[in-house]
Order: sequence, then C-alpha cells, then structure tokens
Amino acid sequence: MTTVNLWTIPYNAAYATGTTTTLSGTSAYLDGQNEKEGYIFRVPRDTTITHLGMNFVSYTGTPPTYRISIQGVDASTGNPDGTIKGSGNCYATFTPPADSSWNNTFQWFQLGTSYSATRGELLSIVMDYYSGTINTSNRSQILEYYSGQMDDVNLCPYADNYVPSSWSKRNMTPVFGYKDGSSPTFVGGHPSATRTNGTSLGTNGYRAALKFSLPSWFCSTAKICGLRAVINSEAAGGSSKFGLWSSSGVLQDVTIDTDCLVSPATAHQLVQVFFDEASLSTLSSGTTYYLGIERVAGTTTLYEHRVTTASDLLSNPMGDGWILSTYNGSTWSDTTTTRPYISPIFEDITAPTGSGGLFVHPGMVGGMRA
Amino acid sequence: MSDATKLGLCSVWPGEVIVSTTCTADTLDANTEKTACVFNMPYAVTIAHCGFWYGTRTGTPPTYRISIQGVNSSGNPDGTIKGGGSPASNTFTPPADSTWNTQWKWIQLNNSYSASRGEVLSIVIDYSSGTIDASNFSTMGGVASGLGDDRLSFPNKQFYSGSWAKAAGTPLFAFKDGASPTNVWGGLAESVSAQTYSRAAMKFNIPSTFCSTFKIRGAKLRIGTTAGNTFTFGLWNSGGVIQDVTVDTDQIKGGNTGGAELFFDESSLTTLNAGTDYYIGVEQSGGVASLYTQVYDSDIGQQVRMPWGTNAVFSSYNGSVWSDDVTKVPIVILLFDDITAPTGGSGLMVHPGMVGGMRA
Repeated sequence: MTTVNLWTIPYNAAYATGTTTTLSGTSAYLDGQNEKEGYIFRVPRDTTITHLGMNFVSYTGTPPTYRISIQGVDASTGNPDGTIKGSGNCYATFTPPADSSWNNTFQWFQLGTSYSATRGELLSIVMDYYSGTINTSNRSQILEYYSGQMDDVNLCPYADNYVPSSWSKRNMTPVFGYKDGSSPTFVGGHPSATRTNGTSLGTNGYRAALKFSLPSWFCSTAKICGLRAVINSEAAGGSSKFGLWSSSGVLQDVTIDTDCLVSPATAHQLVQVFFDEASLSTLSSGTTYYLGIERVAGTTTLYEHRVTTASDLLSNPMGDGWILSTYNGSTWSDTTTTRPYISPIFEDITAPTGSGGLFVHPGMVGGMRA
Repeated sequence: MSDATKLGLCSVWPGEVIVSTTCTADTLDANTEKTACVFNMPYAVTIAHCGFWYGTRTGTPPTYRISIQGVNSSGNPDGTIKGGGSPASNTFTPPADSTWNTQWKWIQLNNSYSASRGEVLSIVIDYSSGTIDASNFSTMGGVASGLGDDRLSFPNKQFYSGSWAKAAGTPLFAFKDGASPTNVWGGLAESVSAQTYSRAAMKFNIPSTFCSTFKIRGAKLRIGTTAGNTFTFGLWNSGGVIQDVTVDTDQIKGGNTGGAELFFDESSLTTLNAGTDYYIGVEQSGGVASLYTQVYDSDIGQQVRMPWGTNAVFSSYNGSVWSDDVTKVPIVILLFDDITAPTGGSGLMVHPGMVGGMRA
C-alpha cells in the first residue's frame, strides 16, 4: 500500500486561462502557391511514421491538390528546412473534396514512403500546394492550433505558418498528427476533431462518464477519492451528482449542491470534487469502471474531446481504452471516438503483484537438489 | 515491462501549470466584510490549522478571526462555526508593518475540527475587534489568476460585502492537520519564478511501492530561454549524467517562456530504480535557459500538499554538488517510457528436486 498524496492522471481541462472564456481554434487558409503550414515537434521514441494528419476546417470552391510531408528543421531558425525526408519521398498528396464532407474532421494521409524517426529527433510536418488552381476562390482552411488551454504559450511542439513569404511561429497548442500504421500502435501530436462539445443528459438517472480500466503494469489495486471534470450543471437550487460505477452499479458517489458552484447552469465549469464515503472502494486492475456525472433533476453536460478515428485517442494519456460511455438507466454505451474531460484523483495505488519468489516454510524438511 | 502509454506524472497540480500567478487578496476594511472559500474534503482529517494568502496591510490592522464553518443551501458559508462550544476558530492581528505582506500565513485553531471525507465546508476570515476602516485594514484570502484553474468553479472563493459573491479561480486558502503536517490541502505557491543555474533540476524519487524500475523518455517542463543559444536537457544522478540532449533554443521558439515537451535522444534509455534520487532539468551557461518553479514559504507544509509530497524538490548544481531547496518545486511532467512492477512478494516455488515434506 502506498499513499500517493492524491496523484491524478491529468487530462488538461480545455478552458483554463484567465481571460479566455472559450476554447477556440485558429485556422489558416492555404490559398497561394507559396503558402505553407508547418508543425514542429520532437519524436518521443523510435517510430516508423506511415501517416500524417491535420484538422481540415473548411473548403472554398474547388480546392487544389496539396502535399503533406515530413521535413527537417532549420537549426538556426526553427522553421521547416524545406528538405523532404526519405530522399524527397516521405510525402503524400491529397485533394480535398468540393463539398463539406471533410469539414471539421481530422484527416490522415498515408505516405508514399514511410520514415523511420529516431528518439528525440526534431522534425516538421509541412502542408503546401501541389497542383491545380489555387486562389481565394479555390482553397482549403486547416486548423493551426487551439488556445484557451493550460499549455498555451507552448514552446515545443508548435505550429508555424508561412504566409505570404516568411514563417511565423504560433504560441498555442498545435493540432497535427503522425502515426505508425492504419491500425497504429503509436499516435503522436494532437489529432483532434473538436474540443468544445459535450454530452448532455436529458433524463434523470442517466450518466455520462469516463469508461476506464487500470493497466496491470500501473497497479494491482487503486482507490479513487475524487475527480476533476468540465461540466455544465443543473440550475441553481439543483444538484450535481458525481459517481464511480462498475458494471454492477454504484461504488461511490457524492452530490454537490449546484449553488456551491460559481455559475450553475453555465457551460464549461471546471470542478474538483471528492467522494464522501468513509471508506473508498478498492479497484482492481483490468476491470472496467466508469467515472463521471449523473443527472439528478435538470440538464447536465459533460464536456469532451472528440477525434475522427478511434485510434487517434492513442495520442492521449492511457490510450484509446479510456473513452466516453453513457448510461440510459439500464446499459452503458460507448463512444470510442470521444474522451471526456475527466481526471481521476487517486488516493492509493498498490503496485502490481510481484513475480515469483521462494518462500521457505519453517516446517520444511528434506533438502533441495538440482 | 510496459510501454507506459504516454503516462505523465505532474509535479504540481494540473491547474497550476502556468507561467505566472497573480494573487489578488480581498480587502477587509469594514466590520461586516468577509472572505472565504467553499470546498469539499478530499479525505477525513482533523483540521488543526487554517491558512491563507496575506496581501498587504494599511495602517494598523484590526484583529480578525478565521474559522471553519458549514455551507448553506445557497452555497455560501452558513455563519455557524464548527465545534459548538469548542469552536474551530482563532483570532489573529496582522502586524502594522510589511512583514506579513505577500506571504502565506497559518493560524492554529483554538479547537481542531474532525472533518469527514467529502464534507462540504468553508474557511472564513472576518472582523473580530479593533479599529477597522479605510485607513486600518488588511487584504487577505482572495483568488489566484493566471493559472490553469482560472475557471475553477468548485471549490471557489467568496467575498461578503452585504451579500456573498463567488469568484472562479484558485481560492487562496488552506488547511493542515498539524504544525508538522501529514495532510495539507488547498493553498498555493507564493509565486512562480525562474531558476537559472549551471544545472537547475527537479530532484525526484519514485516510491518503491509504485514500481521496481522505470525509464524516462522525456518531460514537459516550464522553461524560459534566450534566442540563438543551446542548452542541455538532462537526467542525472549523484554520479553524473544518465541521459541528455542538446536543445537549440531557436527550435523551441527561443526568447520565450512556456511549456516545452523535450525527449532524450539515446537509442536505449537507462533503466532507473525506484527509491533512488534522480535529477531532471536544464544545464546551461550564460543564463540562456531557466527552469520555472513554484515558490513556497519556508513552511514545509506547503510541500506536503503537492502530488509528490516531499519526493520532488528543486535542486541546483554548482559544478560539484547538488543543493536542494525545499521551498521550491519545479513545474515538470515526467514522461515515462516504461514501468516495471516491483520484484516479487511472497510466493511458493517448489523446486523439482525437493524431497521431504511440509508441515505446519
């Protein structure tokens, strides 16, 4: 047993800076032959990059064909160096459709030639013009970054915009992605579709929660004493109910008067709440649990981060198994492309049980021989 | 063995990972005014001390009272001090000088209060006695802004001047269970500051009850750099360098301060041991890179509230020795590459060559 002094696996709350009331995305149009959007990052481990991705916001007219590539980084400026990896072959071309089917989705593109990146390597992903008619009537809009998050003023990774003739680095959280396969084992970057949506509960007793299990390498057992969540509560005079459930039912829960919140019935309220049971339940690794909110008497919303492809959640702490699940009074239903803004707060973590050892019984007689 | 699935453990509370802090204390210059925080208890504990941020004094401050109270149906302090005939409160008189200014203050309660897990409570500061007016008052409590928890709706800070008004952000209040506490909750760093040394690092120690061995692939840390220079992001032990990588500041928007996600570039990472001290941070010369830390007062109780407790502190290296400063905690998220379970507990392995038997 160890008391971990209330550790949490943080999931950055989306709305976090002082004067920013909403999480907002900033996008850029690529409507000139010389214009580019770059994302500069470091690789955390050896990875064979097979796909690159970006968030496609909108189109105008008939978009041209673009290219997305892996490049190096100019040591003196920190901008893409213009040299495509793999002897110029680590790129893909794509032509966005002249309709809205791609709007506000995260798009992946398979490279013609994969790139074997090494741990710590500094790389850039660059999107630029390839062919066709490009102007302000025929163009695409892509997402550069999100602002309003805890890690704004991000030094690295960062987005870099080349318009009209020079690079300009951005100070917020860039939105880009890279992965090691169509069914990846590793996803890097921040491949987000949206970060502003929520799941609203319209019926009393319904729930929205983080469905999770604790990996066996993380712990044998654990206790969760509370959570951080981004919600919209019932109106003043109502109740906010937070719970920890298993497939069998409630393990822990606590109800907080919505009058205790700064602004009841207001979007994107960040709360930190603790359960009130005298003894916490011992959770087992490998078992599925649910941590979230339950509607008591009025509309309640749990905010979330959505991706286009379920495996994109591999870019998040604890991977693509931690997802949104909703309860309709009888069954839980999963949404594999959504991760709610829930961070569990641990009171206790017990290490995984050990490998074998020799325990010599004091009553043993006889000997040991090879 | 595991690929620790992007597990990152943060040295400070997630809402406090930001570059600057502005503590705005409430002005109590009338005998009806109060400042308070409303929260629910993270665990069952006997509260012996309450703490708060002290802003400034004007003239000769009066005597104030700090107390633990309940919370009413409006989400405000209910005016009833816990403990009944043995109230969980105490009075204090700020000095008529600046010695308390911009510091955390702890006040021991005349009577402790045994709070239960999840209990919704308030800590309230109000007027007790003496002259209080626009020429004789203190600013206290209040809320911190510029943090990741700026939109924190609960817990929250409240101010009373005729009626209660709630404010989003991190309330500048705290409690603990003793002068040398085992439990501290609430509170905040006094400031966030840049540490510029030959090596500025977080000294950390992973408990052996958490894992046996582990590997660190990098960290996300709050740093400041100057453009056109290089520094080293490193992992050290008492014997020297374990892993390091040279970072060109032009490749992390040099000349700025912010969060940098840095990774080591060794082809194989070093296996580290739980229960051993390590250091992770920046090495530089000429002041080109600084590591940001939260700064606390000398009361170590503030450190006890941190996620890692006393297992993470700021340490600086002067070329020959490391020196720890327990009043500072670097803002670092360790990024694990691998975590290995502790070596086995008991188990019975029956040797095939064993003869004889077992008896009770």
